Amino acid sequence: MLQSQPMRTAALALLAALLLPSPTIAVKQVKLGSIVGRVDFKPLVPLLEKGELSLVESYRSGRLRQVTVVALVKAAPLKVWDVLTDYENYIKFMPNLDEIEITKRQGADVFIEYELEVPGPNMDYTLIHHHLPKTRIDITLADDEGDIQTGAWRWELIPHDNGGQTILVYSLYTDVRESSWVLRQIMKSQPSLEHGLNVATGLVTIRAIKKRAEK
Amino acid sequence: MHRLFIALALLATASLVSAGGLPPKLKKTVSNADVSALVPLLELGELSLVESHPNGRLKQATVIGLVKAPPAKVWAVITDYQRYPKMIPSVVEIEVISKKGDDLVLEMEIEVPGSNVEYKRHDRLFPPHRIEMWPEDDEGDITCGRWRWELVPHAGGTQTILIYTLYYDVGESSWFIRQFLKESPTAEHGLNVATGQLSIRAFKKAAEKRR
Repeated sequence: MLQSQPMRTAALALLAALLLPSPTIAVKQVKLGSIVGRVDFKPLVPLLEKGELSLVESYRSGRLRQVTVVALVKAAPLKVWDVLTDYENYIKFMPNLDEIEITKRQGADVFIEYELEVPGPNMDYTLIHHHLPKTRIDITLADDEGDIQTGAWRWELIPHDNGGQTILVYSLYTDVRESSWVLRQIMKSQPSLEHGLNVATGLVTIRAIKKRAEK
Repeated sequence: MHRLFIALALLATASLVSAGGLPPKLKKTVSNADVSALVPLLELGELSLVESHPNGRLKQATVIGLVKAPPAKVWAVITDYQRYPKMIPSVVEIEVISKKGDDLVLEMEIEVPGSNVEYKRHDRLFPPHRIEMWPEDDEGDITCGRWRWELVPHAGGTQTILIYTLYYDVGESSWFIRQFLKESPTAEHGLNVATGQLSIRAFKKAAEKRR
C-alpha cells in the first residue's frame, strides 16, 4: 500500500534525480498547425461557457503532434491582446515565473528572456514573440542556449459576441522528455503522459491570461 | 512550465491515489447534441473539457475520443478487465472479486514509483452505453474519486464517441502533492485531464485493433 511517507520519499528521490542536468540538444524547429479557419467555433460556445476545451493531436506513431487549448474570455479581443503582450507584468499573474526581461524589440518581434522557478536551479530560455496585431502571436525559441530545446507556441484571438468577448486559442508543443532523465524514463513506460503534460501546461497558461483579462 | 511537467509526471504515475470520501456525483456536461458539434475536432484528436468551481478548484474533467469501432466492440474492451494490464501499462494486476448482476467489485494494483497503489473499485454497468465507477471502500489507497464511461454511437453505429468523465482530489494524495498544489492549484486540472487522456487513448487503441 502506498502511504504518504513512501510517496514523499519516492517523490523527493525523483525530484533529486530530476535536478541532474539533461544532455544538450540543438534547437529543433517545430511547426504548429492551426484549427482556426478549419473549425467552426460557434457550436463550441455552449461548452466553452462551461470550461476550457483542449484538443490533442498525435502522429500515427502515437507521439504527440500538438495540443490546442481553447477558452472563452469575457473581455474584448483588444483587452486580451493587451494582457498577452503585457510582458512586463507577466510576473504578476503567470504561475512559476521568477523573472522576465525584454531584451530586444525588432519590428514585429519581441525577444524575451524567461526564468522559471523550479526545484533546484531555475530554468532559463529566450523566446521570440512574433506579433500579428491584434489577432495572433507566434512564439519560437530564440537560440539553443536555454533549457528548452524543442518547442513552439501560438496565441490566436477570435472575436465573439459582437466583439465583446474573445475565443482565445493557444497551441503548443514542447518535448517534455528533454526536461530530465527521469521524465524520459517515465515516458518509456507511459508515452501518453507527454500528451497530458502539454495539456496541463496549456491549461495553466490560458487560465492565467483569461483570469487577468476578465479582471 | 518545467516545474509543472516534473510535478505532473510524478503525480500521474500515482494518479489515482486519494483519500477522504466520495466527491459529489459527476454531472453530465456533454450532451449528445454537444457531441455532434465536436465531431470535426474529434476527427483531429481527443478533446478535453475542464470545468471549475468559482473558487478555481476543479469540478470535473471530461475527455472525449472518437473510436473507429462500433459501441459493442468498445464496450467489450472496457469491460474486458482481465486484459487491462495489457492495455494500460500502469495496471499491474486486476481481479473481479465479486459480481452481482451489473455490479462488480474490482481489486486493482497500479504501478507507481516506490510502492504500488492498491484499491477496490465498484463498477456499475448500464449496458451497452454507460459505466459508473467509485471506490468500493475507504481501506485502499484510493478512497475519493468518481469516474464514468459513456458510449455514443456515431456514423450509423460503425464508430463510437467515447466520453470519460472524472474527478479525484489529487490534493489529498500526499504531502508532496499538497505542497505543490498550494503554489500551483491549477495542476489539479492538468492531472485529472492527463489521467483521462491516458485511459481513453488506451481503450481507443485496443478497440481499433480488436477484430
